[in-house]
Amino acid sequence: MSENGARGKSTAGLLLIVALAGAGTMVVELSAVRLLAPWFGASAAVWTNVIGVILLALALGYLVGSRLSAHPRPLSKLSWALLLAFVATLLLPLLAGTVAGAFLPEGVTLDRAAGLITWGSLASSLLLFGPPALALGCVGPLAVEVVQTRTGGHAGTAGGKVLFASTVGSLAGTFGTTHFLVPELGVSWTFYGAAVVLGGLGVVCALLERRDRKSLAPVLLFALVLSGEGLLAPARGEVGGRGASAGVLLEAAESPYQSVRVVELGEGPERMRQLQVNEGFDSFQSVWQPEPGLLPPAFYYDYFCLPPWWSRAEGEWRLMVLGLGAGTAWRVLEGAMPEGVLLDAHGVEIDPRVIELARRWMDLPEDGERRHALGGWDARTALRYVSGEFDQIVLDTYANQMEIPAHLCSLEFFEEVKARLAPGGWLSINIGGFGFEDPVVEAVAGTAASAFGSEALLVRVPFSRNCVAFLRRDGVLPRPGGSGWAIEGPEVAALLGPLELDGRWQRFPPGSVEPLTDDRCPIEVLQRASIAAAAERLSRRSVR
Amino acid sequence: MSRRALPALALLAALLAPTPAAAQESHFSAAVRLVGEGDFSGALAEARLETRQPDAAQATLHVWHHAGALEEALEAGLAGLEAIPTDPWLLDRCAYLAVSLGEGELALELCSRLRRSVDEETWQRSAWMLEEAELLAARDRAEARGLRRARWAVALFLAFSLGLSIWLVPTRGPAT
Repeated sequence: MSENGARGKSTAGLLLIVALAGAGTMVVELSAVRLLAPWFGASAAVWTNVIGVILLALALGYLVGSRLSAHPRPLSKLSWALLLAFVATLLLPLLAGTVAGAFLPEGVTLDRAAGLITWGSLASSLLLFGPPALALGCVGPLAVEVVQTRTGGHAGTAGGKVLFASTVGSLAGTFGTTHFLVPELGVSWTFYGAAVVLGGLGVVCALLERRDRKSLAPVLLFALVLSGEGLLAPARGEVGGRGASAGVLLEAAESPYQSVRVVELGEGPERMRQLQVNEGFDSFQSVWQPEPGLLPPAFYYDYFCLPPWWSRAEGEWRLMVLGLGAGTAWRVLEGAMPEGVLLDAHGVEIDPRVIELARRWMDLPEDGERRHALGGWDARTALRYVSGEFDQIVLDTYANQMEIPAHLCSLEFFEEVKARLAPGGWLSINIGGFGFEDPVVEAVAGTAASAFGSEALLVRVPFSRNCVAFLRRDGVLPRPGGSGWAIEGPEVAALLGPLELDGRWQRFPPGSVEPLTDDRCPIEVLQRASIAAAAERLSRRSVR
Repeated sequence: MSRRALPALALLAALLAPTPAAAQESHFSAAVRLVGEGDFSGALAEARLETRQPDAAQATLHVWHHAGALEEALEAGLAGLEAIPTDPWLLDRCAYLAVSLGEGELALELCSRLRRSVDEETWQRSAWMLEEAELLAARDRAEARGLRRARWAVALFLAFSLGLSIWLVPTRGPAT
């Protein structure tokens, strides 16, 4: 069919192809971070790298497409571009481990990972997502050419229609990926599904073109690739090679936020279960042991149980845990409360899949009297809607294992927390950091102190790189080794001794740092500085 | 041995760590006793009153290690080794702490010194630390290689992108 003969034909089918290609682009972009997450996490740095790479590749694709559109058979080129995107997308889950592993060796610990995360995720993104995004970038200019050829008229008219279709498709891909595809199919099958759709579109374009046998070559390629037996099957349900390397994997799941897995370590009464997410490095999100109560040393959760003892609590202790995870804090307090004190535990966890796993594997109780877990809620939002005041609020909200979300460490947020505490109530914060000089620790503790208008007491958790901060609404904080510090329960009292040493505790007065605010909260910069400072300190240590 | 097991091992070692040999009722032995009683502040105060080396360093390391302050324990041990570079107990504990903290090169150096300072039979009890230290050092080298590789990959892709752009962006429209 000649180009002139094509004029006047409907372009609805072609615009549908463009829309589906736009959806495919967003599926690749939004799933890309999830594909890399087992190695590099899903931090803002990784997101930035992935988005940057895809924009760069799309830009190059537009250029390549513009050159190809001058070809006499743009529909054929469109078909090949979609087929290339098909192959490149299909290979993503299969190549991710090899590519990421080339930049991020096994056994990396958090304090050494900063540079590798930034550069490794950038390089991996370029190699993995550059090719499919470049191919998908060709679609727009080629489609504009075909539409204009078919309809005649102005280039702007054709371009506008194609942009409309592409953007609407991208919109559908955006929502579909986050809310349906990844949670329901998993990351690998999301990519496979997107690849097959793109390949199918390439075939449709080839069939629409069908000038001669040569123009049906994409159909043959599509059939050949798909007939490769066993190409997809081995990867079903599995993404990435890091994570549950030690212990027994009990269950793994994909949620809208992260890859989650429950792993059991050890045997018998000593056994423990960990909820691990994404890259893991040398950390975990929640931990479970058969009996409630204090965990073995090195777990920061134990220190959340100090406030009811320091307060000489009686009757009921109303607790809110922001960042409930699998309910470790509840379980520790449940088994370590002063005698006769009833725990009324509330909790908020942003990831509902974590709550599901916790109920199945980590004894998180169903909602009932004195136990209320809110799944799928942001901590700050939830705090506004939960009624009543609390004797203690625990803040343990981390994204990607090591990032405190900016809106959960601002002055305004801590003021809201303070307002939800009963008089004399406590805020306990888990802050991951490398000592009291750590920029994140200083900023978060100092900001909380400013919001409370009183000092924060920080302690370094033994055998750990975590600090726990304690603040109090209209009440006096105990002084390590001094008044109000000693407690009666022998098991819990044993936690205090190591904290009394110089350098293992510190007070942060209000105004000690410029507080983080909703308007200006450079927490990610501080987090990078924290890791870099730790690595620098480590490299200075030597034996003479 | 898994790297993930190391923090737990550090804890176990703190609990089972051999008590420094010179435990008699002195500041040194008082520090050791107070650690056993959970009075870490008192123990550290006693350790700081000890003036003889390596007792002072041993006692200080012992207190910090049992209190779960691994970095402070290592610092105390390294300070003691400046005074008594061949003390086997300090070398052994410092090597252990360096391994626990993931400091491969430092652990290698300490293991090497320890090996020269003790007889073969004693060394065999600590030899596993050398293997761990070598693994850690190899990991550090792999990290450096990974970083280099990533930077090169990024540079090459950017160069490719630039070249493609220069080639494809026409400076003039086609002649008519």
